[in-house]
Amino acid sequence: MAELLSTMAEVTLGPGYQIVFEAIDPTTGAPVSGVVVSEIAIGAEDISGTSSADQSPNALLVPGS
Amino acid sequence: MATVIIEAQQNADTPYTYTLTGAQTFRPESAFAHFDGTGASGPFLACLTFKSIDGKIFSRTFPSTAIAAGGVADVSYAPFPGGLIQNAGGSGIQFDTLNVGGWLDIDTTGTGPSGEGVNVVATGNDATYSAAHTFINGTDSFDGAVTITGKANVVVTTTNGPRFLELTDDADSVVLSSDNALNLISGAGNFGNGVNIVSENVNGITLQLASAGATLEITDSNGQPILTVNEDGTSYLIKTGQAWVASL
Repeated sequence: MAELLSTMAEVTLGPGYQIVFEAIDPTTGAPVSGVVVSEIAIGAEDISGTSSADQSPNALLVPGS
Repeated sequence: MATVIIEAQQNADTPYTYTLTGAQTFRPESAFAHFDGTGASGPFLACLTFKSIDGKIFSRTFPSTAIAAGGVADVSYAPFPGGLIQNAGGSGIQFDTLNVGGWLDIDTTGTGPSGEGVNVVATGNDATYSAAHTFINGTDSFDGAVTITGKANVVVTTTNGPRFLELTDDADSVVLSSDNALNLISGAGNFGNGVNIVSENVNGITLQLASAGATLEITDSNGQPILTVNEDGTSYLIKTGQAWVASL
């Protein structure tokens, strides 16, 4: 299985902003269907101090160090 | 400020979206996802996209190589991945992955185990080269001999008008070699004037019969001999019913 690396923008995200994992066609940029993502994890610096209270049904926030 | 880890709890079809809640503000430092393209409709780039409140994309990043349809990959995202190690082979071309990019420049300075600087062997299937314009540019050059070995015929086709293949060697002779018959065939198309052999050299043209018993023949449209010269020079045959006429 391939291990791939990508750069990532250094930005601060606020309420309502979206983080999207998606699959696009290398040539056209169109979405590619049939791709499944799992084991998603995002490490983030919690600026608001409220992230541990997140109750999103699709995400679980675990306070880190 | 604390670092938090956001973890999705289930498999999800792409695009998978995590929306920051009412009071959340954070700066992503890293991200990870396992992309499973077993059911993918085609090769794809594993993207991490940031969108603003109104849904506009303001960042989209992805690895330099695409994942083939049917492939799976663990993908990590970090602000500065350049110092990280990607696979055992480094961050370049990878096996079992569709490598897609703007260009590829191969420049070797050493000799590999094959004895070559660049050695391409496709054991599982034929190697195919496809280019929209030109694969070997007219200004390219080769140092040393160029050998083309084909399982069957080697076919060179260009769109350069009637002159579809040109072999040029200013320093020495151009040799066409064959273990069997060597045929120069001019088709019935409208280009050119049949088969032309032209020598601009003072030494002219030599047709050598190198085997005893060989003949040099000129035939008619039915393949019947008009003029035959034997290798030993002892005889010639004029087409039956035709006289030998010397026009001086």
